[in-house]
Parts: sequence; C-alpha cells; structure tokens
Amino acid sequence: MRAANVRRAVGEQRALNVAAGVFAQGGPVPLAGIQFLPLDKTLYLRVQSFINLTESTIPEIAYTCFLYSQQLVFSGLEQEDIRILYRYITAGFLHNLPTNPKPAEEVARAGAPRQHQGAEVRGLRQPAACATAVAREAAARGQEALPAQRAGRGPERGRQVRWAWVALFRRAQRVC
Amino acid sequence: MLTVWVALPRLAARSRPGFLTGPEDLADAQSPINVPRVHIGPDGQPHFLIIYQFAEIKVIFFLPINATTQARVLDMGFYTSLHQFLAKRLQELAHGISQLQLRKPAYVPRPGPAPQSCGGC
Repeated sequence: MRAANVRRAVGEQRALNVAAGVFAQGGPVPLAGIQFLPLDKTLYLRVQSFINLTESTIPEIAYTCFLYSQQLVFSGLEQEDIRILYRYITAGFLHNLPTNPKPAEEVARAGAPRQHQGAEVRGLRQPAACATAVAREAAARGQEALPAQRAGRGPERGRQVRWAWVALFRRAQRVC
Repeated sequence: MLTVWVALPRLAARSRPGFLTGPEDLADAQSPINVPRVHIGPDGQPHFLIIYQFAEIKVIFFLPINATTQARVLDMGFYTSLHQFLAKRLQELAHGISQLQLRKPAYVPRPGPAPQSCGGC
C-alpha cells in the first residue's frame, strides 16, 4: 500500500515537472486535446488586430478562429465548441464531407439558381465507435459479421482480423 | 499505421491560398460552393463554416445563418473580395510567425527526476 502511494506520488511529480518544463521552454502546450501555439506579445497583438479588422470589415462574421500549422493561436468560440472544431480540422474530418453531387456545368445548363451545396455537420463520431456501429448494422442485416467473427482460425487469423478492421475503419470513414 | 492515415489531412499539402470550405476554384465563376453548417454557441445556433488557408495559416469564420448571409455565401464576389482582403494581411502574419518559429529552439522535454527509493519494498 505504501509502495503504491510512493509510486503514485513520483508519477504525479514527474507529470508536473514535464508540464512545467513545457511551459517554461515555450514549447507546444497541449491542453484538453488542443495544441496552442505560443507567440510573443507583438505577434499575438498583430493576430488580434487582424481578426478585429476582419470582423469590423465584414460584420456578418460572428466568430473567428486562427490556426497556424495545426496549432491554435486565437479562438472566439467557447471551449467546448473549439475542442470539437479543432478535432474536425486536425483529423481531416472535413475531407469526408459530402460535396456537390452535380457538376457545376450541369447546374448552370439547367438554368436553376445557385443552390447551397454544403453539408450539415451534425457531430463528430469516434472512428472506433463508428466502425463498430457500421459492423453491427451490417451484421444485423446479415451482410457480414464483425471482423473477429469473419476471420478464420488458422495461423493467419491475427493478420486477417487486423486487415478486416482496417477495411471496416475505411468504410466507417466514408459512412460517418 | 491507421492512426497516421486518419490524422494526415490531405489539404495540409495545399500550398496555394484559397478556401478549404467555400468555392472550389475562385477563378471559375461557376465553381460549386460547399459551405458546411455547424451548430455552435450557447444555444446551438446554426452557422456557416468558412475556412481560408494561406500557407500554414488557417482562418475559420462563422456566419450566422439568415437571409443576408445565405445570399452572401452563395455569391462568388463575396469570396473574391474576402480573398483579396485576407491574402496580403496574412502574408505578413505568416512571415512573422515563421520567422519566430525559426528563432525558437526546438522543444526537447526535460527528463523528470529519478524515481525515489521506497526503502527496500
């Protein structure tokens, strides 16, 4: 019991030292899954000034965020919102959004007014949870079983299971 | 391997300044405009999400959805003027931040203290 307490205390002290070292050295600061970019005062004020100028020039803008090399510099959003959005941006989620199903020429030829073609972002689903949900739905329809059930029992079983999960994740990326 | 595949954004390799969400090609007046909608804020109000990239900088704008903004986000002139406004200012900022990154020494985590002895346990 005493040994466990000592080990826990040493671990906590080490984590604190690492965090303090990060702050002291001005390196990237990961907090709550968001990596912030440390800037000097002048540059940060220039960024702030740029954002204020943009928002005053285009009054329709409600919020603005500024990232440099996948690191957050400034955000006008609430913490919970920016945390989700940061994951959208850095995890490449935006690439999987459905895009315009019709070519621009076809839309123009039809003579129809330009329609909004954006997607509705409803929330970020974890890839693992999404893959499992996709597999369960497929299994319920009798199309395919979960990777672990589908794989054989020979020496290749481990490799088959791994590749089945990779295929499932890729499908989940397309679906979710 | 899968983690790397998921975490690698394809658009990170984009070098030409432009909109990641919005018109696909600013030079083409008939280019399709893809602007996602997100629900943010304390009331979860829907907003248009417009992302502009210049070199390593990404600027993200949120426009509340109403009659005015719905007309503006479908107007190519809005994106052209926004691009002209942002490009020259972001060029200076990108230069300043990249110079700071060059001056800053690479981050190397300090080793923690040696584990203490627990008295022969």
